[in-house]
Amino acid sequence: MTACTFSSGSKNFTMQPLADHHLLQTRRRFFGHSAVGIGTAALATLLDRESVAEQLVSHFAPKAKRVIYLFQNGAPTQVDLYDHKPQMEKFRGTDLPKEIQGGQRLTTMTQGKSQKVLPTAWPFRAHGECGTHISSLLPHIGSIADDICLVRSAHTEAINHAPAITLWLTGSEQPGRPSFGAWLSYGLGRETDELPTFCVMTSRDKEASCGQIFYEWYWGNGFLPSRHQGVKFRGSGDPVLYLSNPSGVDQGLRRGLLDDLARLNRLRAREVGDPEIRTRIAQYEMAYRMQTSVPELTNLASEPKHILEMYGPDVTRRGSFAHNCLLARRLSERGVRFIQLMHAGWDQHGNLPTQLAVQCRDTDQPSAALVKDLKQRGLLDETLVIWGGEFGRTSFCQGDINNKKQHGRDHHPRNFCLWMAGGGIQGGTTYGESDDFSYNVAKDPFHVHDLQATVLHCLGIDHEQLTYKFQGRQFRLTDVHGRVVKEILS
Amino acid sequence: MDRHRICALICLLSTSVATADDASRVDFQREIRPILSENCFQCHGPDAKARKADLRLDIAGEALAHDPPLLVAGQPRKSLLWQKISSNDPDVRMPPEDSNRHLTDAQRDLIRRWIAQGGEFRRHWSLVPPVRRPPPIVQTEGPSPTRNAIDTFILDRLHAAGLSMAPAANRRTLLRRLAFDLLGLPPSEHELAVFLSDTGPGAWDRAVDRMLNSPRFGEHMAWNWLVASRYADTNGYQGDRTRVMWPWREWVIGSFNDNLPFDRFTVDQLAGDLLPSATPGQLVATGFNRNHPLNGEGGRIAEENRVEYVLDRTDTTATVWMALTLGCAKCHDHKFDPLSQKEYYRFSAYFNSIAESGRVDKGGNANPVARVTTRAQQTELHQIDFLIRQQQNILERPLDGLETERNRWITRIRKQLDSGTLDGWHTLAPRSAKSRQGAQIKTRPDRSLLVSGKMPTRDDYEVRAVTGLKRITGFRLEALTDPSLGFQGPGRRANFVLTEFAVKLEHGAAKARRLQFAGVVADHSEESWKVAGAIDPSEKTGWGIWDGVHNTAQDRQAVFQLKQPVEIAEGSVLVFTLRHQSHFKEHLLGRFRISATDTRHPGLDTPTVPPADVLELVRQQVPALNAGQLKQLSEFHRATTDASRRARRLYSINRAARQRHEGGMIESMVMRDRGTPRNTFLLKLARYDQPVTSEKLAHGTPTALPPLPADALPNRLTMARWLVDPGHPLTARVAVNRLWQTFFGTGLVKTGEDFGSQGEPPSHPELLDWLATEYLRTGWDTKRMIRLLVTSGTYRQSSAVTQEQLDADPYNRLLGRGSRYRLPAHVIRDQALAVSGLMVETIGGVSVKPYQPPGLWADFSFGKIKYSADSGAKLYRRSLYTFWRRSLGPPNMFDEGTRDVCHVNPQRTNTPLHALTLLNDETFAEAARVLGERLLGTPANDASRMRRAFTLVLSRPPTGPERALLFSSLDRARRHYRAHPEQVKAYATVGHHAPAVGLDPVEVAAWGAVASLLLNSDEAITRE
Repeated sequence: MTACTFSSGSKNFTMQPLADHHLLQTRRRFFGHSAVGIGTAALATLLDRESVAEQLVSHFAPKAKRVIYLFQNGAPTQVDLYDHKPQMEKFRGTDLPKEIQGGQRLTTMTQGKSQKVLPTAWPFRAHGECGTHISSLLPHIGSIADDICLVRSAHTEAINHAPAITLWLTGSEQPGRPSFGAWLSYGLGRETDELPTFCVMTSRDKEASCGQIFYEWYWGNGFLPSRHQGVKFRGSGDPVLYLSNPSGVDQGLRRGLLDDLARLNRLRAREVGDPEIRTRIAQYEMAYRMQTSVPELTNLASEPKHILEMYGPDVTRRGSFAHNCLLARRLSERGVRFIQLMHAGWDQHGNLPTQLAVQCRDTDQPSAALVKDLKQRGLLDETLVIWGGEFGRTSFCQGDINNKKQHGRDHHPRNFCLWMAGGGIQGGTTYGESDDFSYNVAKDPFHVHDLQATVLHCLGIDHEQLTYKFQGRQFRLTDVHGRVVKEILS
Repeated sequence: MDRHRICALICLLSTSVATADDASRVDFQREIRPILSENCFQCHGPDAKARKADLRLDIAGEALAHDPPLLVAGQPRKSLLWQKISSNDPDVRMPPEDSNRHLTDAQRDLIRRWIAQGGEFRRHWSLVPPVRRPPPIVQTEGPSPTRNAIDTFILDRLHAAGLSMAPAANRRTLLRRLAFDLLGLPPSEHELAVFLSDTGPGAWDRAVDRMLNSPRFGEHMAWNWLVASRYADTNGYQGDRTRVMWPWREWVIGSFNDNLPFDRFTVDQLAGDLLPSATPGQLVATGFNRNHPLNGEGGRIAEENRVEYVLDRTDTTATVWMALTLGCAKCHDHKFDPLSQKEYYRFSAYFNSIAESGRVDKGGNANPVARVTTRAQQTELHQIDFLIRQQQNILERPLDGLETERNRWITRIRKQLDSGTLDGWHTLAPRSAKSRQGAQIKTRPDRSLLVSGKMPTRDDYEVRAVTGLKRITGFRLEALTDPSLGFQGPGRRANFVLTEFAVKLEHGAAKARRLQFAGVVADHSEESWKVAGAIDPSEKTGWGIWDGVHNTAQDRQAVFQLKQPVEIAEGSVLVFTLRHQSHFKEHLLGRFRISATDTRHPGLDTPTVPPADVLELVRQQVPALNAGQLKQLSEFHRATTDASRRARRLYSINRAARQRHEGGMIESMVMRDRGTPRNTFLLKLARYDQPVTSEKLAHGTPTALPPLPADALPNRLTMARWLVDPGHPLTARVAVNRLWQTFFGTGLVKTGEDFGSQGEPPSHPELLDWLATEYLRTGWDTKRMIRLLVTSGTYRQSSAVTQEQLDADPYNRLLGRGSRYRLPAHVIRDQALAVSGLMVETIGGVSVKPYQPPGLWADFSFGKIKYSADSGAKLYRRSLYTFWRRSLGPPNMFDEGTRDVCHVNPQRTNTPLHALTLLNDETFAEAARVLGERLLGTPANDASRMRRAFTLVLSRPPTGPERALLFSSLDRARRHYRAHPEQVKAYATVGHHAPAVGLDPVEVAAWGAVASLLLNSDEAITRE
């Protein structure tokens, strides 16, 4: 019963213990003030009445309850990080063979220019019992090799950042569709009432070397009701927009105001009979609770030193990737359904030899720490972590191959890497292979829509059944594609 | 609970209320077609490629021709359709197991009954032109609640469901509803008083008319149109640069206020550029289809962008005017509606020949653009053009009326000729003219010299000329305007400073002699740049003619008088030096002319001697001249008259003003076709690089809709006119449905974006058709249609609801009561500004930047784009004018459609984040504080202040319990602030609006708390 208090969707899951206590308290307070005394079940219906029927979509037993998507904007280079091709070295500086290149679409940045093979400059090393080869740039991620499934055959159609990111996060290259997290919020409902169902945090490399923008549609609700939109946790100012009271209004006064407001609204409800008013009263109450729960969430004072150290030195800097990774764990503990971290800075067209190491330093340790931290708390089994960018980078050089200060790699959609860990994924494995030049998928292609189908599967959802009717058509995250890649499931 | 409601709704919407017995008539359009569409069309519908068993169910002809017969009228058992859907064999039963679709028993039963009743098959309702049926005659007990035809349709339907209409809402609620619906604002205190005191018959109509005539009306109506058109102030995507589209917004506001008929509203926006002699406004109107995002990301293939824009326009136009989901036919034939993929691309051809590149190639805009004028500028331009025409009329006035004057002039000249001394200025014919710095100087037929080419900082000119005069007493320098010059001249960039004017006389090898001046006069000199400066030796002085922005551009002259008359020998050459060496850059003469005279006292009034050919004519007798000669002579005379001289001067001033206007005009994106149309092909998977080039597609509209006129040109104008042709089955219906949605909350067709097979059928089809035909009958008169809607009894019902009503019709689709829903966020903000008195009511103009929490733009753009809020009046403009960054809309405008793609349905959700916004956003917090001050600003006691607070925010006085509640709240706030002086101090700093002087800050804070409470109340943010 507890779990059903505010959402029928959560009946598949038990409430997180941390949230439970709070909830009972606030419920008591809320219903204590309620003169009309609406029933718990009725309130649940009221809150989600627009899509309550559609929300019961758990199609089979879920492995994961939550998702943390560590999105690496700008496209990390698979050649230098995850796709070990020692045999490429003997082709260094020669033209990429025509049969490999295959007349593929290039951005206007490298169209018609020479394509000299550029093998990686960094050594790879086998990690863990599984022996997966990972670059020396990512020692910490290497240390969790036995917990992850490394996909080496990811591919996409898009060759520019925004459409490619939009495809991963909404299933379509053009903006306008609901994002991944919004679909889950719609499909699974809330697990917590203290916090939003879908939270987003963004960060970037310290040099701000790339100019990509974090578009709101990356966590938008598309045509779903807007309460399914991701809530952006901010790196500066109020962690959630408009969370703080205006100057000269303290929480005591606010409490009184909200009590009076509820009374005033109940008088009106008696007059006009509209059940929506009761929902409004409840939402104002939740807003008040968020004013407490969010600062509590973002306050890291209770984190012991050894935990902070796991995430690395940036962890205390608000707005850093490390800080966001720790918050992601805290959000996950509190039952937030979909946590989307976006870290930009991987777009090394002309600064690969200098910038890549910096970028890895910022992200390697926190990413690995998050997986380890979840694991040591027993949360990894029910939390699915995804690490990946929008596409990969070319194994040929962009710019002058001899000018190490100014060369890099262009966008490459045909073959790249990502990894997943936890919630239903078999750790210590790899999936798919590329050709000798890390240029084409050689075995077991893994498309954007396949990831989406697989993740939904881990959450107990048949991706073909989670639909929403808009403009006369049943839409779904995977559009008309997607295959559950059962091979990588535990 | 919800399921029950939905079932109840379905029952209500079907004609067969309550009893599902075989006798009640099944309605094919409303009950059967949606079932077939949802469950069968995917495989047995319009998409030829996906069609199974060669069976098509969406078209009557095909369905009925099937063998064995799909439908046998009256005999379900013999009908294949029934056999298939009722079979117990999973291999036979339709829809198949794996299709994710399935029929309920009730649906199967409906189909059975429908076949039993004859199985009548009809075209989808929205593709058949509306038929106007007379409003039903409704019997009511007691006085009839019907006020116009709308009500009889509504009541008829309610009666059929065993329901009735609610009583009218009270007058205060009604006026508040009307003000929100028509103006997007609560009624002002004044409007409320006027309406309440007007108790005569027709008071409501008068209130409606007052509001329809308010300029706020156009602003409010513009909002939804902006959302439909995906209007934003930036391009979206990477870079997200600022564009200029607000002139289009201004056009929309004006069009609603001027009640532009919807057919013209349509044609102007879709094809205004193609109209014969299109006005500037009609050009601006075409911005509708330039409001889509523009992708300026580095590395993007321009053609890929361009194709995306073409498809966006195609989808948007189909949605907004026809509520067709044409976009579904991009990658394959439409699955549910008779729209083929080929038809999609044929329709897209109308948008495929815009003169655009796919790049952001015109500042933040993309070509094509037009220089556009705002409404204020247009008025000013009209005035200037009027003056220009006036001067032209003087300069070209009929020669007949000037005969007497001309003859007197001829006599005078002839006398001078006889005496051998032609009195006046002889224009010199320059032999050469050079610029020291290499600018070009050309001699014009009128012997003036025009400077062009290189623009040096400083320059000197040397002009050599000969003259037939034997003796010279002075020179005249005319500085002349010219369209080629900056701001029309006469300097190369408006003004000039002539630091020296010197003349030498050369004769053969003899040493040139410099001529000495006695003095100089000019018709105008700048205060600090007197003409005398041109003949003194200093280079720090000179002749300048600046006379403000509006008057500099006119012909000026300076007359240089010689100390002594100089005799000119045969073969002598005059060498003029004009120096521009002042500290001003580029202050150089642009066009000038030099004359000489032997008149005794040369001055500004000295006339100009006619040129030789004119003098030749003067010598002859007038009757001896042929018509051409007489005309030449008369025209020369006309140009020398005082009236002409004055007119020329004013003409040049106004020409300059016009040019300045044009220079100051801003560029905005418009539609313009390129010279050679592009070829249109079907694109596989809608990809720009996968055209099917084997077949060139001609422009065309879907064949399921009426044909184009046989002789129509293949362009947008044809398409736009086709949309508003009275025979078009969709346009009028879609438009009135959108109006209905605006005034009743939900459209008669709930899916305003989809009138196709998968959309919801209309709740009141006869009413929808009646309204559509009424709209056509009245010439697409939008205000008239709105008046019809809001003067109906249906509109004026109370929105209070009982549990029985909720159970019977949870979503009020039968309209047995008034609709009640949360106001959109932009109206909530405008209300806060209005009731606090902060609102600044300026119409139109460039977008403004009100409060926004710091760091939002910087966060999303890596610090590249920063928000800097405006100050003063710009903080308090209506929300319509708030700068809309496409990637990140104004954060306090929750639930407002994003501006990436076209939206035609409002969202109304209810989340804790909205509560946080209304409680804590600086906009609302400031409005509460200022409303508190407003209440305290007039002498009154607490009771009357409380009444006023209620009236301002809720348009009504409080009830007893409300008053008690609010007073206890006020008391608590007072106690709180008395105990917390530091919070009182902090409270005064909320927002930029300076705290009112002379008010007790504790009282301001306490009343501000009450104001905040009222502004957050459900009633305040709800349209009741």
